[in-house]
Amino acid sequence: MARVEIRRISKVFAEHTAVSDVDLVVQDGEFLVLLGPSGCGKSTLLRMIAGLELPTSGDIVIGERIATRLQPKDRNVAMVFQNYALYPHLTIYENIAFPLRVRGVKQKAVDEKVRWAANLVGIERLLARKPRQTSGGERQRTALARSLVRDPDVFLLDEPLSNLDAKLRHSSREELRQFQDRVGVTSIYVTHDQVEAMGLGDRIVVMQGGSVRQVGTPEEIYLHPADTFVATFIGSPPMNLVTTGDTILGFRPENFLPETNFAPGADIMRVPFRVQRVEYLGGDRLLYGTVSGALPETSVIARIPSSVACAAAQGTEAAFAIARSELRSFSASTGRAITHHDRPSVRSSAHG
Amino acid sequence: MTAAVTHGDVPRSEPRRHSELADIHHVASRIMVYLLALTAVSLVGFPLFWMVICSLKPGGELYVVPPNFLPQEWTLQNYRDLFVQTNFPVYFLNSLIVAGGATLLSLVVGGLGAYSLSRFDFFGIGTFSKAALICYMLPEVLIVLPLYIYVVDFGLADTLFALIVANTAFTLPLTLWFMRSYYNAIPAGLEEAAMVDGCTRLGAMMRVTVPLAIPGIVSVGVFSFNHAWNEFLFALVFTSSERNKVLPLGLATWIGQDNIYSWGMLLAGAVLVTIPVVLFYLVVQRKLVVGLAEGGTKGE
Amino acid sequence: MAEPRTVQPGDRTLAYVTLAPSAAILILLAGVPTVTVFFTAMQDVGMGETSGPYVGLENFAWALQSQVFYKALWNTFVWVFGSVCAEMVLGLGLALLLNKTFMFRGVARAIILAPYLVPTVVAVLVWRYMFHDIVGVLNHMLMVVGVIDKPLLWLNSGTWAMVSVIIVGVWKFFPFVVLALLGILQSIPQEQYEAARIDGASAFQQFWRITLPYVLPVFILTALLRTIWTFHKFEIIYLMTGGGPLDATTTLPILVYFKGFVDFELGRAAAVAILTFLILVVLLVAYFLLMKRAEARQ
Repeated sequence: MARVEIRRISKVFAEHTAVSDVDLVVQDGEFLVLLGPSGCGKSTLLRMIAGLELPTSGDIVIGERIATRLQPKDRNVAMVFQNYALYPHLTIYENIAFPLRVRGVKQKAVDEKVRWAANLVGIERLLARKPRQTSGGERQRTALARSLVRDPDVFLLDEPLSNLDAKLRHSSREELRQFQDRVGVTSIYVTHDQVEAMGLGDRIVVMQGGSVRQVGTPEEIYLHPADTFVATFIGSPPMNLVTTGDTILGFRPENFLPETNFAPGADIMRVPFRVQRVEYLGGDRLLYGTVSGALPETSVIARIPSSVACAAAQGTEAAFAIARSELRSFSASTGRAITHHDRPSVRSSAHG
Repeated sequence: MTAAVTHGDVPRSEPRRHSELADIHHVASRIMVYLLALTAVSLVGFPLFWMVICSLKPGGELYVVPPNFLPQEWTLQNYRDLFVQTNFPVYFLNSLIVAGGATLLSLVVGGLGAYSLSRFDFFGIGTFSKAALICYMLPEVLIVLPLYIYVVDFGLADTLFALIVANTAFTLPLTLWFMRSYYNAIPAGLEEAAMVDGCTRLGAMMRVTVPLAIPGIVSVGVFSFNHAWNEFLFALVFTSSERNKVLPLGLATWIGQDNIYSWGMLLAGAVLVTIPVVLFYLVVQRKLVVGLAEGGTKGE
Repeated sequence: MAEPRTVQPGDRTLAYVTLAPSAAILILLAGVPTVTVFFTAMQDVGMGETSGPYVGLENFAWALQSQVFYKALWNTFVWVFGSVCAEMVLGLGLALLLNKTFMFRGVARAIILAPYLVPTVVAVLVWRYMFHDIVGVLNHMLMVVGVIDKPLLWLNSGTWAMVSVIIVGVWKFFPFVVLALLGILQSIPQEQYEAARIDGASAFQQFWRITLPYVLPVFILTALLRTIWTFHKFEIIYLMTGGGPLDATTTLPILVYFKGFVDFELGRAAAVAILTFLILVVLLVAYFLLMKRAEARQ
């Protein structure tokens, strides 16, 4: 159980900079997600916390110790790899027991801990099998159990769900979160899947090109993105962005509704919307079209729940609107969010 | 919340820089690796280095006691003598003919045959593959006796033709086995797509599969050529006259004499014989990792 | 096997046509000779002839009662055991070394693999020059370093001749072991080592628990192959010492050659060749049975 501080960490390779001046604090017991597209530096950052890479500059603090130059084995962290890194020639039991055997723990204690860990993740009946005789989900749980047996201070997970098929991924996500709640270990989780990140994280760190774009709870990041990258990366479909002069206006598809939906005196911005295509997705309808009027002609998407009546059909022009409180503004030159004077406080932390 | 937290004790000063060299264990193990590598390379490479260096010494200097490390006099005399005083050029040509012939024969026959071994499963093709492998494993000393009897009985004694055919006995199974696993790695789906596009099976093979297999063909061609180029026993037994000798045999006859009249020429010959092999090696060096573990231990 | 999902008309013909030449060549050059040699072994073949009257198993009886045969058998075992052990140890060490990254690794790798490519004749030639008792550089260097004080008769003394031959054999063929082991070493996923490092394994523990289990099957297979091939090696010994001095380095293949093409007794040569082959087969079968028992016990 420990707090992790990442103090101004950078990793520079000969050809490119993988991580650039990242400064974060992970609270004790928190489930933090590092989210970003591939190549953004999240895995490199995780590996530096694990001790597999040496930072070019900066420090890592785990608990109360400066861990930057410590060997991985001295940091008391555990890591679940994307491909699980199970030892193919050992049984599941021995795979889980590996960290204990390496430290010379006595057989009786090994047995207790292995069975406890296997029980926690639900693979007790698989202990005699070899990894190639188990399914993807079972291997993932084995990797998890192996991390558990050592009572680590920090859990590091490098895209552990990306090798599972979609359905399994969803249920595994559930189990993973419940598991972490029960055990309560500080966890740092890397993924490129924003749905996963939103579903799992206490806080999310959005990274791009080696730097941190925003840190916040899923709500903060979704409702108040710090820049256009975060705005379009989070949310599916992404936030609509319309450039007007030196400002970019942003609004989420679910806030872009027919004018009739709003109360008569509401503070809204009216926008004519020409619908080009309607996608019926069951619970929602997606309307693809262009806006005009006060805004320059831009393609946008609207999302309307099927429970709400909407007369707008393909090829028609309809009167849509956005509540002004849901409008966001970004600087056209830097992409960063511009705060409105009518909002209580600043909600952005963009580095670099 | 946001993450621009300052740490009470350390205000925003420059972050600490780290270098791998600060770790003494790391430096020590790096030094060890380089030392070991240097030792290994020196010991293993010395004979070849010595061969080249000594071939450039004039004849007399090779008999000096104690031997000189570097030539006191650098000369190409040995190479000249080799071409002028001996049948070296004849041997070289013969080797080219034999190795080239065996390789060509194996590639054509084996390259096509391996395709069928890979794609089809009729009338015991599977057993044929295994039988081919066993043929490669047969010892030369066992085969050379009956083959010699053939050669003599068919009046083919002392011909290059006999050598070409005899070498094929080993280069063909090698080609079959190697190309078969190479073809196995080329998805059958590609040929099926070609057949949907209008090719016959033969057409698909010639237009799609074989062109894709060219790297494999080159590799196994090089291996076969190398095998035949260096082959000695068959040459020793089947040929006897000077004009039919291949290089290994030619060089060997000189070595056999206790009083070697010119180590210089011999070493020059050795260098020249090695050059084609080295050239070929440079061509295929990436693929030169023997895949013995296929399917064995990747337990994931 | 990349079996196609469909069978086209004409596929059978294609298979016939493409495989017939291979089959023909292999049957003629390998199949038939293997059978013929048994017949030859049962004939009394005189000088200059290629066949003779049948004498049953007389040739085999002669071989199994001759001192020459048993000396050759012993020499073969010494030669094979010495060579293969040295090759496997050296090969493993250098494969581990070449698996690490360092500058100029490509060059180092090329040089370490070079002996395998060099024609055997060339290798023997160079080493004979180096082993020469008077002008050879090896004796010179050993004396300079102080290991010996007068030149060693490498090729002319009974014991040292075998040692020299083994040295050359190992130098020439250990790169095959390096290649085979390097192949498997490089296929071990880096993540396994990283996971072990995080779990606390030391460098030795990583080697023992991760590297070795991966390497062992390939190691054994390679040792097996090298044993089979070394057992039948002819050129190296023939060219280095001609089987001598006297019969100090005469192995079974050398004996076959001498009997067949120097003494011109093809029948007896064939008998020795077959016995050589059989001995190896017996050894291999014994090995596989032992392995099966070891596995069953696990």
